[in-house]
Amino acid sequence: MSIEIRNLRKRFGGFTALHGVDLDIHDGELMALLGPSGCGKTTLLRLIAGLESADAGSIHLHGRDVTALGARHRGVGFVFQHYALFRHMNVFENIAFGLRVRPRATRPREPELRQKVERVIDLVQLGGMAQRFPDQLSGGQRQRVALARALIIEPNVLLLDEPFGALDAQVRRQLRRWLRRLHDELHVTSVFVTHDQDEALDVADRIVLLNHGRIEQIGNAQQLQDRPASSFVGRFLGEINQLPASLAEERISLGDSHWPLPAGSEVKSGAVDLCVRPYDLHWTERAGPSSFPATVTDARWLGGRYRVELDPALAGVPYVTAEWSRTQMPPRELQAGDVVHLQPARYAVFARAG
Amino acid sequence: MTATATNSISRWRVSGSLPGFGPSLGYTLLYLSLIVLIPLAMILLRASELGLDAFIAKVSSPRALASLRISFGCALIAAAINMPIGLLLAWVISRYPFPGRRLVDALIDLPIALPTAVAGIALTALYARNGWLGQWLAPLGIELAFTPAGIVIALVFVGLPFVVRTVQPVLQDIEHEQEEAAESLGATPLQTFVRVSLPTIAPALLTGFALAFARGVGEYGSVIFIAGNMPMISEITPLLIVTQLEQYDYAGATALALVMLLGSFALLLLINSLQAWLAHRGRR
Repeated sequence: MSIEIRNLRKRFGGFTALHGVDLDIHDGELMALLGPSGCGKTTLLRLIAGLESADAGSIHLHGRDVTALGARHRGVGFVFQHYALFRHMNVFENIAFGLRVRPRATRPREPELRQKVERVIDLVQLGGMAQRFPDQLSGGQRQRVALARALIIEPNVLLLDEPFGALDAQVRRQLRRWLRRLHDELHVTSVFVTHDQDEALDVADRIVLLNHGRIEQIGNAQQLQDRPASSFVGRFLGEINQLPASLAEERISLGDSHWPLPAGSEVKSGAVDLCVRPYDLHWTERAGPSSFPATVTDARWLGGRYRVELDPALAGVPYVTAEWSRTQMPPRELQAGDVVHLQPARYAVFARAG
Repeated sequence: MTATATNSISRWRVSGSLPGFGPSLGYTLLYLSLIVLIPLAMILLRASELGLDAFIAKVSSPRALASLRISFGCALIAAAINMPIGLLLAWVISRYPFPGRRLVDALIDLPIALPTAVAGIALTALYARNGWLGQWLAPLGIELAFTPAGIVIALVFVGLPFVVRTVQPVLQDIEHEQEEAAESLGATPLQTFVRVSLPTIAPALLTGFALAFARGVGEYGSVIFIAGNMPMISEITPLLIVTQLEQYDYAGATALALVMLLGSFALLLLINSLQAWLAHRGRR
């Protein structure tokens, strides 16, 4: 196990950033810490790095208890959101920094140092940029310098704080594919923070979803999307329809329609939210016990899929959204005012919040 | 003529988003002339009445040379002392929240606001043989008042705010993340300071040094009380100039003034070039 976190707590004055977090990150894994702003994801990352000190709990890196160690002794590579490059040093010196500050006994000699730095420069594809200063680089290039600077110390784990946050959409997509390939090449255990669910789904092996300083769910993209542990997870990872239903005797009732309770649900009875992804809300011609009627209010072709907004005539649900691929579409073009029957193909239920 | 002038200005013009290079350069030169250059030209004019031989004789008299050595020497030493002290003060004020920080912040400007004579009297009372501090130092054989060391003390006092106030905003703006990055890369706090923080602060620190030095060279009020003003030992050039004015030796006074002026200008130019070079290296 590369990173073992037990019951980690952190308060800032009256604000509790983390309430007892437990987390295991495997060797060579690329893990995303995902959550809305203020959920504690950056605090967790900074605690792993040793840039903050924990109020309680423990952190082990590769079996070594580092809870009491400062960042300097943890051997952790940290990439900052705004790069934090040394502006008075050129690219070469920025990257060489981690080697130059080593104690004399372990500091490589100049030729060896040059060789190492140049190897990392090639790794991050910045050949020919060694003499440039940070101000002369684009955002994506600066990010790669920051990454190279962290990699040269051959870190136990690599931590990245919103690594693509400050880049424009095009560069961000390129860079995150590149980071994924780089990770597959180096296999260094990596954790990155993001608030962008697409980024987490696109890059990470597993995702830790945080909310209000607690872990909501840990899993891979499919587990989180298809088997959310809470309605928060369901809502955070993509669009979801929440329908107010009631649950009794393993049966979910919504108006005159009924569905069996999915296996593994935690609620047993009472008021629940029936959560259905737009692409899991299928269309049927005829009314049935497991479908409900809805009136089309808007229908759009979004290139590859059809997106329909419907009014289900349920109290507290102004509209639901359904998405159908070309093959799932009704045979005729839908118009506003058409009534169709909707059948949830896959769904989850959670106790109604508040 | 006009065409040439326009031509040469447009050659210098930095094409940027700010309009009005011509008028603003014109105003700058006008005010600089009215307020700085013309008065200084008067000194040159007055000094030139002497003739070269008399001028050299005036400024190279042992008393004049000693006073110049004391003025520039003490100002340089005081500015050098102010660099680390001012940096430390600015560091503490901008980095650590502590009770009474605002008070300390306000106190730092006091030497600028205080009439320099008041500062001189206060320092003399403190360091004189029978003063609060002086009475303890005298038995140890340390005499500060009425020696060049006293001059340095006075100049440290008046020059300190200049270093603090130039360094402080830079320290506040410095990205804390750069220091964290250095720490996570294994740098000790000292390495982080020397390799990361100091290069960022250096240009401002040097500007502070230049300002403190300039203030020290020109300082009069606080120094004359504590210096004792013994010719050849603790007499500063500004005082010598006043003495000569009182003896109606206007030409001699302006000759000394001219030397001070050129010396200060040369040193400031040197420091500013160094500062510009450092700043350029810092953020290319």
